[in-house]
Amino acid sequence: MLHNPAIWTLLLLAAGCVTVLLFGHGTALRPGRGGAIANITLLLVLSVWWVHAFHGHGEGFDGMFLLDRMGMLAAAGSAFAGFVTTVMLTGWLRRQGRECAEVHALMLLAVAGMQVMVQTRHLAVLFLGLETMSVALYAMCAALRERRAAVESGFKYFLTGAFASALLLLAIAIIFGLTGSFHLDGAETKLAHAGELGVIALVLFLAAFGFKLSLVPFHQWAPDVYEGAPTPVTGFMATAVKLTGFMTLLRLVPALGALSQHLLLILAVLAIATMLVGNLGALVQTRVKRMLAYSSIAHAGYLLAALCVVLAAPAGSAAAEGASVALSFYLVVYVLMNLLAFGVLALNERAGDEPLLLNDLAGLRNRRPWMAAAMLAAMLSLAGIPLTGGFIAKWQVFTALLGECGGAHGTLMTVLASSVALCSVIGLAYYLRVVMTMYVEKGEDAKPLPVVPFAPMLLVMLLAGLVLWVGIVPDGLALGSEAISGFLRTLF
Amino acid sequence: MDPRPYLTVAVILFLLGAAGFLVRRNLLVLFLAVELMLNGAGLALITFARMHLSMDGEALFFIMLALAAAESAVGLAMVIAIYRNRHHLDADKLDDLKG
Repeated sequence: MLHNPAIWTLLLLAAGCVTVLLFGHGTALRPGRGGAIANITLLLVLSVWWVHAFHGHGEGFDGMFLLDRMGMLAAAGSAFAGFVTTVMLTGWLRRQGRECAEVHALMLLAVAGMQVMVQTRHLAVLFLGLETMSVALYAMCAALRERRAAVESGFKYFLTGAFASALLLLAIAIIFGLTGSFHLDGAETKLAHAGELGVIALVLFLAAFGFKLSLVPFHQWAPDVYEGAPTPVTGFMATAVKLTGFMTLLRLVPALGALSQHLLLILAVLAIATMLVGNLGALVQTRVKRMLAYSSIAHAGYLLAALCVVLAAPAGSAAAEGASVALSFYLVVYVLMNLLAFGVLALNERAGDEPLLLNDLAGLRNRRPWMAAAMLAAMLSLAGIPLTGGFIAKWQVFTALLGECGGAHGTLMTVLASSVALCSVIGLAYYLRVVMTMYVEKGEDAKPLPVVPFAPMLLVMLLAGLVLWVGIVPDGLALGSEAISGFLRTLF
Repeated sequence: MDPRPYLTVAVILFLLGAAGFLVRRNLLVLFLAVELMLNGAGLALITFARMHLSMDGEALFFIMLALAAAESAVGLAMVIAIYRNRHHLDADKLDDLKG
């Protein structure tokens, strides 16, 4: 059990959280060390995952924890998103004239919840992880508690999140009633004869995850919450929550498939609605954070389409395997490009709580050429233009969809593939509008930009490089992390 | 043991909570409604645990109690922050963010 890296990462995160609360607070003369402690903790967690990334599979705690590639990828991804966010958040809070150590402690708690959530097929443990993550995130949204927008955003997130948790708990209770256990392993046969009660549980389950992942028709909270929260926290919510949520769905949905033969149809309809609403909603936005919120809804639709392929392909076949690889790859690229986009926004945001408008980015090419180039990479990648990671990711999902067009659910897959194509075209419009604003408009009357510290700028450049690198050498990320894993193994 | 009476109460609690959440507009009442839903689900868990003669359901119920307490702490803190900023607790007037 002690060989299980999951336990070490959780212990590290808990210890880091306590340390931040004990020693992280600063005074007016000595700024806080909370961010630094959180960063060191998250780097340690990341290196634990890297050491174990290509070795060690199994389970612990009576099968409640399981260790596999998918869970490790999601756990390491959430720790990485947490690291980037902490670096951005330290500078952002300083520019707002605030030092709150508790935000960094909450960040570590949220990452811990994510680690639990993605490494289990036990419903009680899943609920525990999901709630740990959510409660920490509610408080992080409202961290600047004297600001009306921040508190409103936090409370809206809290209300929808708590409602979703209640739905999820009832779904878990019903599944427990049907099978007599929280383990989903081997529950398929019992669930297959569940009848109407099973369908109710399935609907509640999908609604709960729909809220958490902002799928249409459960998405209304997302633009408000994304806009009001501190920009780096928004970036964290848009990336890490989606990453862990979709990984959890990918793990659980095959078992839930026994509950209803219409599951695939429900998910496909949700996917198409999510893509359309996300893309059309983003078209009319003038505030950049709100636009990116709709864009993240749209991307949830593409991800759900990939999940549909996993379900549609025969279980255990090469097509299903390929589709889940495509989904994981899309998630990794999605995390990188959104961290990049929100990172650039966080660095360009002035002190105070006026929202960042699209016009504030006007003429960024002349004022901050490197920053403009990084944002260009993020926008092109989000739009899915070749030579960026976003293109390869979308291409893989698209080919997976096309590959299943001749299968048992051919019509559904054809419809899904055409909506992915159509929505990508709509998406071009609003992503390129940002590029036009940065590169074509002069922006002579734009307000001055804040001073940018070195470390966050370096991180933004690194992320931009990664997004482009994945686009040019798609398996570069895997090879690179294998090399780092080997290097770390020689050290320990 | 006949689980039906217990489950009926659980479902009624849950639906009352859900209806309250959708209809009422005071933030504190919304908050209360969610707690009612959680307790309905909790009662269902305990009933199923008795039905299957397994302690797992009760264990999750205790975890849920702790989580609900944590959620209340964060939620009530935000209610106080909202009242300080705006001097009302009306969900319909919570509309600074829109577009």
